[in-house]
Amino acid sequence: MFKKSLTLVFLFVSTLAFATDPLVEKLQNQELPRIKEPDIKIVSMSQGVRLYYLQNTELPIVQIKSYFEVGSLDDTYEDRGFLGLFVANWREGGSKKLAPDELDEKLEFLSASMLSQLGPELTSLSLTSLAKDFDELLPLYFDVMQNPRFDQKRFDVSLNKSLSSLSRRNENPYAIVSREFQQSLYGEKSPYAWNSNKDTLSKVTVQKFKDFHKSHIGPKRMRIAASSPLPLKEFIAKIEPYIIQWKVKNQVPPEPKPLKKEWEPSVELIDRELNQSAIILGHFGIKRTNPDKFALILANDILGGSTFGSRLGDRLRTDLGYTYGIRSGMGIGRDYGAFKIAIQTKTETTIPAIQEIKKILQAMIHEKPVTQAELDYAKERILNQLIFELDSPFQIVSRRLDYDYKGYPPKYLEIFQEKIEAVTLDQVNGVLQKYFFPDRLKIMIVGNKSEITDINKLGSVKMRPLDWE
Amino acid sequence: MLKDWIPACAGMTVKFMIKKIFSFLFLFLLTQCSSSDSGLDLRKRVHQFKLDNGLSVILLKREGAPIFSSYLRVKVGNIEETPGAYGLAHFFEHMAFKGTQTVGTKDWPAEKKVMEELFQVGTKVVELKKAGKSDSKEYKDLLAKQMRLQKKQDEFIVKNEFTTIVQRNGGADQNASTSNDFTTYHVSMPVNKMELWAYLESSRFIQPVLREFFSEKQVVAEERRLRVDNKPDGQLVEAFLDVAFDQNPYKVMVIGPAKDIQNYTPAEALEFYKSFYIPDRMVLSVVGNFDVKQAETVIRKYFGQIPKGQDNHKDPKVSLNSKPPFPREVYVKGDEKARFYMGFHRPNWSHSDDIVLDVVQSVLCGGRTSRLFESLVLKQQVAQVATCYASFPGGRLPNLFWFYGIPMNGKTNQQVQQAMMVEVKKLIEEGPTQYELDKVKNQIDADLIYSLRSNAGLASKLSYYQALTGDWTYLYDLQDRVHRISKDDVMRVAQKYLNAKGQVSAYYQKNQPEPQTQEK
Repeated sequence: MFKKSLTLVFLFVSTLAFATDPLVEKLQNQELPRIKEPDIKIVSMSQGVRLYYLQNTELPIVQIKSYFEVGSLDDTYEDRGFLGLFVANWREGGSKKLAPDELDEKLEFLSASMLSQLGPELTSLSLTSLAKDFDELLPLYFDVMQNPRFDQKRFDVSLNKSLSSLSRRNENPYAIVSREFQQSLYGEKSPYAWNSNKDTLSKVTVQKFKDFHKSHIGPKRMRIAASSPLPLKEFIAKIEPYIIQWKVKNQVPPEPKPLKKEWEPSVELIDRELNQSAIILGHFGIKRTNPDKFALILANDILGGSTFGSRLGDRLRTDLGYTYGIRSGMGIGRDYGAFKIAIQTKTETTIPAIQEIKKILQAMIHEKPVTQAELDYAKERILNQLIFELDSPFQIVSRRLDYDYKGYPPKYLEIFQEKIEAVTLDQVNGVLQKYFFPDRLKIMIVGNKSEITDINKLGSVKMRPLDWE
Repeated sequence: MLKDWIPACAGMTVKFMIKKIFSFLFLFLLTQCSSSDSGLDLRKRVHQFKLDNGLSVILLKREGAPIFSSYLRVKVGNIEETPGAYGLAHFFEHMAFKGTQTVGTKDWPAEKKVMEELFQVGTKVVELKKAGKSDSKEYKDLLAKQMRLQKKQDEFIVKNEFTTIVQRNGGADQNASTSNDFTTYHVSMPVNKMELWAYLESSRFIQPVLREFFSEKQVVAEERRLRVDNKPDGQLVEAFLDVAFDQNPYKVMVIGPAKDIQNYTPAEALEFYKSFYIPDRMVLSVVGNFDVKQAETVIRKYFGQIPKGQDNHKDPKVSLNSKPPFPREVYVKGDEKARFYMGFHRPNWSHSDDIVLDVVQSVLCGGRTSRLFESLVLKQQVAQVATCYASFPGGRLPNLFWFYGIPMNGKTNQQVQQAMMVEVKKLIEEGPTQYELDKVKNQIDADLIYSLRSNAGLASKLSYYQALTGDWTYLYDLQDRVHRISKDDVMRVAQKYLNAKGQVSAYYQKNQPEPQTQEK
């Protein structure tokens, strides 16, 4: 089925960039694959639940993942961290039919896995099993989904583990700088940046889980991505009964308060005794509804989308040997994402590296704009890798579900390909000027204060304390 | 040793299920297995051949998108290194991305001339530094000259061209890794770029160019700071390996000591390449939706050009580390939260006990229903993490059965370790239950099918067993043997190795008792 539906039309598109090796030049000048998405079955089941399905006859494996419209952004400041614990305990805590250890045993004996996961906007529960065990495991999957037990003992364990993790949160320099940059940009009371602590986690109870499950997990706006060897009709016949009988009126949380795209440039230093600094520079990015996003994806790719073959990577790693890895990312979110450049470099080159990054960004916007060759390369890189988005039937349906949730049009992958191809040099250089602000960067450094003696070259520096509670 | 478990459907599942499940279900399974038998038994699908130069090739066609993944696994790791130049295998892996005489250069003859002078000067700089003369005028002058020559060479270099050609032609997950045992190069690409891939991938091993040799040392030094110096686990593993091994090359971390990294010379690197990057030591595994005949043709055409070499190196004869004193321990003092490593010396993959130790690992640490997780994490709540791995840090040579623990808040390394040893002792004395053994066998059989989901995962696995044992179907032998392992086998092997006579511990914690201390 998959083989038949996944057809690719090969068209000859523009020639690739010039290579110094004539044989490479010859061999790479072949047709680029034009993406054609397979014919995914999208079915509206009872209670409006949408199923995204592709049959997979190659392997006797079933994968099913159900999504609910509630995510970590729906935590409240007072109860931040609640949803993380809720989602962990949803699967960990067993179900009406099986206690947690019985559920674990059943799954591991059959070499199956059931996972609950929390994303910023969506929460999911998935099951992967051999096809031969599907009939045995499907009732358990829906039992966990609809009647979770939230076992008290398991909750105690998960709370302890969370508190233990919390006390280890300052041991990875990159984790620190990521967290603190986010707080500095969005504000410590923003759902995009806040961190749970001992107090907020200690307020969580099993009863709160049960109440939240009852009010927020249900068929309303539920989506299911699945693939299995079964024909669509047979698959629906197996899962529909569980949907029909689920009489819950779940609420879907409203979107978080809109962000104001405002920030103050800053330089902040977190003092840690290290021989390598972790650094993030950046500011606000864009929303995913922004029509300039295709040009911005390309602009970011040229700036630092990869450690190799980007302006930042070629200079900071290859020329200067300042770092093992440097990347930039343009945050494209439901609301404003964050544009970030991240690097780790030895203490002595902390300030030179930051200065070099600023110089490269500045030059790209002004005196050394993107060239046609760079744009062609970025397009080729992105377009030629699109085929990997269609790697497996389950990946295809999951991606399609995600695009639908985000409000993207059908056949979005094909549209994405067309939009990227259509971006012009003027558009890329235009978005660089419109969305990148090298003079207004927020800079967060985790490093050894006593040895970064030239830090004042960056201007006024604020010391940022670390929360050790 | 089971890197990942790949079993076959035919035979094994059925045999096991006869014992466990109603005949009705058995018949269903039988149908399932036989109907897709040819699909799931890799022995019926893999096309394997050896090139005239000695390179082994494994091809597997799969359904799905028109893409493929390749793994080129070279039998070279820190086992092949010599004192003073540890980390060279990993450094050469970095060099392999620097291009060839036709990729990455604007004018090879001119670049070569500059590079040769640069190598001479750079080598002299290293020698002076090693002789403790880095304050001398000669050293400073030569260093300045080295920088000038590097800039001059830069004028001829097309930066990162090797990598960017692959990327702009759809190459995904292009990377490489070096372990104690192997260096592996991998990438996934659209099938219509297979000939381009074959040309590029082979050409970098036909005549590698050590471009940007000296500046890349700084990149590797940054990688070391990132992975070792500034991470508690990095510091801990380095101390652990050092105290665990005496003569075994596993004593040193793959990335090598900071000092060695700065001291490599181009001549050493080239000698290393000539000695070990020979086709007899290479396994190429390609998995994806491609025409097998065409794939064989392009692979023969390009990889066949890698010169045949003379493999003069055999694996070093390293005996099981049993020289006293044991148990050994080391403390790494640090401000971060406590954790520890514990290891027990064990023989390498070819020993008949190897597969039994894998079963010991499964019973003790395989998932949420394993003994350590159930006892230490769920019941006693003494550990946040309590796990183990049967073969660490590599498998080619005698190595360690390894445990790792992170205490819960308020608990100590020693409490977790004691709790672990209670479970180990229990396994030695009482053995696994039949249910536990059945579970392990089930999981082995299922993992075959799951492994077929990923081109890259499968390519990695096939190349691994071929490179390790000389025959990738060894994984089926392992599977057969797992199905024959008894309770007594597990008890005997656990008792034989998991005891104080081969025990090594490394603790990362704020305060440590005497005697051995490694300051952070």
